Amino acid sequence: MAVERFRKIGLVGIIITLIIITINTSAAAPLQVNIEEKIGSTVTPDGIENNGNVQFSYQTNVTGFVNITNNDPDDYLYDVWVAVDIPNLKGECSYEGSRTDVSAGSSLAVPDKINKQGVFNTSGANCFIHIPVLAPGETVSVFYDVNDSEAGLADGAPFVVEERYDPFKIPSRGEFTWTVYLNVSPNITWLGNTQLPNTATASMKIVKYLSNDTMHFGSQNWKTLKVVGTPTTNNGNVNTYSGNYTGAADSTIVFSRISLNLNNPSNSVNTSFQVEGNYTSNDAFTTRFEPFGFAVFEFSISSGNVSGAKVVDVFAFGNASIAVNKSGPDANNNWMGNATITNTASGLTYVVTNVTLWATQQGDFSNYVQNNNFNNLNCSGGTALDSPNVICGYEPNQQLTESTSYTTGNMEFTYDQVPIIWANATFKLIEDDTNGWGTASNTANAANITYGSDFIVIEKIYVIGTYLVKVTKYVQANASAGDNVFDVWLVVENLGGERSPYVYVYDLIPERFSEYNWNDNWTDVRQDGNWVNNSSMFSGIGNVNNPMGGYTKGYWWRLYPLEGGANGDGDYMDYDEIDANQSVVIFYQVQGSGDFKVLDAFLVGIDPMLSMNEQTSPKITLVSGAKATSYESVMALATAFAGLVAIVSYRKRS
Amino acid sequence: MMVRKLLLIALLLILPVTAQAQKVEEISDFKITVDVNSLAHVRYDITLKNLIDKPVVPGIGEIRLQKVEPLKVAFISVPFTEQRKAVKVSDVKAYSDGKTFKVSVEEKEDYTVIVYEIWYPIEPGKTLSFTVEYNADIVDSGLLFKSVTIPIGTDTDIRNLEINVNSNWKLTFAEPPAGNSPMWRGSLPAGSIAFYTAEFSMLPLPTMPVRGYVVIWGALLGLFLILLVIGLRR
Repeated sequence: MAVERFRKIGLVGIIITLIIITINTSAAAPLQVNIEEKIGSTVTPDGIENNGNVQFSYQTNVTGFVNITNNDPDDYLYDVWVAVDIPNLKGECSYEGSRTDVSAGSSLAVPDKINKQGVFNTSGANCFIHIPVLAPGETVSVFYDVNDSEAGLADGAPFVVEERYDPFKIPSRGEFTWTVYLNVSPNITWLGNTQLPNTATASMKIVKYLSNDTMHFGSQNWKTLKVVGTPTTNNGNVNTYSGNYTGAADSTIVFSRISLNLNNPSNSVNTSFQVEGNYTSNDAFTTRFEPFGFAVFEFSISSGNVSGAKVVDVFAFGNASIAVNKSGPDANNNWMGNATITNTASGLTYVVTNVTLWATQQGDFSNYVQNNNFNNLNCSGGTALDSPNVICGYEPNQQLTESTSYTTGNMEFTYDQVPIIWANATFKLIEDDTNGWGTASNTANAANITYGSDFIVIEKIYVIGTYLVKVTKYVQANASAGDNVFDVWLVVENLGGERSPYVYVYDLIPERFSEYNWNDNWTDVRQDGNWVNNSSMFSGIGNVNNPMGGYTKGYWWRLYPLEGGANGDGDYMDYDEIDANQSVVIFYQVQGSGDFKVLDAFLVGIDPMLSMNEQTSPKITLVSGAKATSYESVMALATAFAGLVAIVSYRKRS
Repeated sequence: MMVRKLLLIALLLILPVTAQAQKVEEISDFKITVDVNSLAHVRYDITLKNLIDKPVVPGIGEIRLQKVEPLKVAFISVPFTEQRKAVKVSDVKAYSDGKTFKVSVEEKEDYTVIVYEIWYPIEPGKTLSFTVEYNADIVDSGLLFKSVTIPIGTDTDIRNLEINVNSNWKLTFAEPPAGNSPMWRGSLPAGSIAFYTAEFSMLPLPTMPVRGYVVIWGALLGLFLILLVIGLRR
């Protein structure tokens, strides 16, 4: 068993070593051109279905960078030209850096010397970049934007976000806990509109922030907000973390090391966590869909990009030398010349595509020497380009590794003075990951300075609000009405912004007080000792005897829903509010007798349905228990006694 | 009789008993199942219905339990006396579809309150079903019989009320008379109280229109009295 285990360990070690070697050997080329696309998505909740599932809408913006880097530690690169084909390009690519000599765009003029077959292929390219000099270690980035609508990417995202809350509605004004189930899976439909390879995988980290900051997807009405319990995930790790956004959240959750196969819709990450919060607002409301934080997705996709952008061709070269050799004249005034191109760079390989040799007249820069019948035979290995002018062209297409040279064949011509022989050469870096230029492409989330990533899922939960209903009680002696008669005014006001439900007002008549001048009618305003104003707001009344110690009677009044907007000053003569049904006045008179205590009358209760306290509906009270209705023990005792007496009596007689 | 029974629980409730207001919720179904052993295991299957056009959170609900019984000398009940006591409850739980609700028990001077909390909203017109279970010392145990008399009162309309009382012993009496399943079905308006009595015996007796213990012990008592009279005449 132990041998087998060590064998497995050894195998794993070999695999790890191979992976490391593979990584090391896939290092960037001396001139590396990377296409890096960025996905920024905002996932916004629109509502919650009755099963608790959040309905999201997606908005996505794909952008890209062409990053051109000179990875060679010693060699400068010159005249770097890059042609890129970007499908669904929005506008033009652009360089937004600080260098003034770098240019990028869709219609850059490529010099004829470069812009030709075999030197620099521009077929299908719509973004051209020119960098005169790229120093060792330097990177130039060119930005482009993808037309997301045309590409069918705007209304989706690479991931399907499914979120469910349990419960999905919480009451306000209290500490309540809800569980969030957050599932993320590949969006096969959206990915099908991209050029990402079928084999792509995404490495992902999800950072969940709670927020009570309105500037950061939160609400200031969250008086407390924190993660409770232990978060879970089926893919990767989970732990708490202090990120670059803290807000006022007590804790943040990080789900990391997530791996998603983008070709498999059932490959997902399923997480859950619990949030405890207290939402308290000074405003009255029925229901609000309130943000309580957000989740940030940081991800990278191993290879490929969304738009299908690709590098068409790259032209560049590094250090080299060109030498012209001239010999002659012989007795017939014949001259010979050739050119030698030498790769003087360290670690770069060029291909020499074109060399041109020509001769001008003595002391003259531009007037060619002319020979009748100057032809290809005069250009050994080359071509006479413009006879009778002495010009030879060579297309060697020969690679020059470090410190190697290429020398053209001889150009032979006749001239009776001393000619000037010139040469120029076109050579460029080869496409090679070790000694030339290479390309790569990858995709990741768009960066966000504040949150780290611009892939943001906003989270909201329904909060059930309350009404602000207030009752004020006045007890005032009214000697004109009778001895020890008191007027009682109950002023009910709806301070909230919305219409209240039915309102119950409770009041108790203390001991040694009795109702005075009451009739059964509560709608005869100011006619007697019991009425409600407006009378149309009166919906019912009930009472109970001896409701509690010190009180002989308990009354409740039911009022129709009050309109919102009362000022809450408790004024029982605010007829504007009374007429608007924002305030309702309940009036009654009581008369004290004996050793009555007026102080006991300062007691009142109110129970608006959906009230401000923790309970948001009328409290349901059930009553049960038991009533002993069996006297079996008594019957059994009586029977036993009768039996005993009968037996004793029977024995005595017998 | 009904007035006396209402007074039994009167102090526990301040109920609207007259005019009908717009109701927020009703108990659309209320199924009571009582398993009678030495203790009673009581199970309430309750369905709340939201009657208004806004979501409603049931919030805090109360079940108040009171036991009314005669004074006792040793194990003998003293006729025509009455005392009110809190009901001893245990193993209280409230739950629904895998969710466990917070419950607490408060024992007052002469009654017990089970407080449950449900913070799940009920959408307009929709229902929420939940179950409350507890054990309670509400069984009236005798020598050959045991019985329960359960009052049910509410401040919310109960549209469909079902009661089932089960025991390993034989059912000898039920009031109102027992059906098959459920034993009793009806409705209960807000502010009213209903009583249900079931008596069981260890003897193989049929269900009778009067209390079984009265029949058996009355017959024995009568028999002994006849024997006594016969004995005295000899």
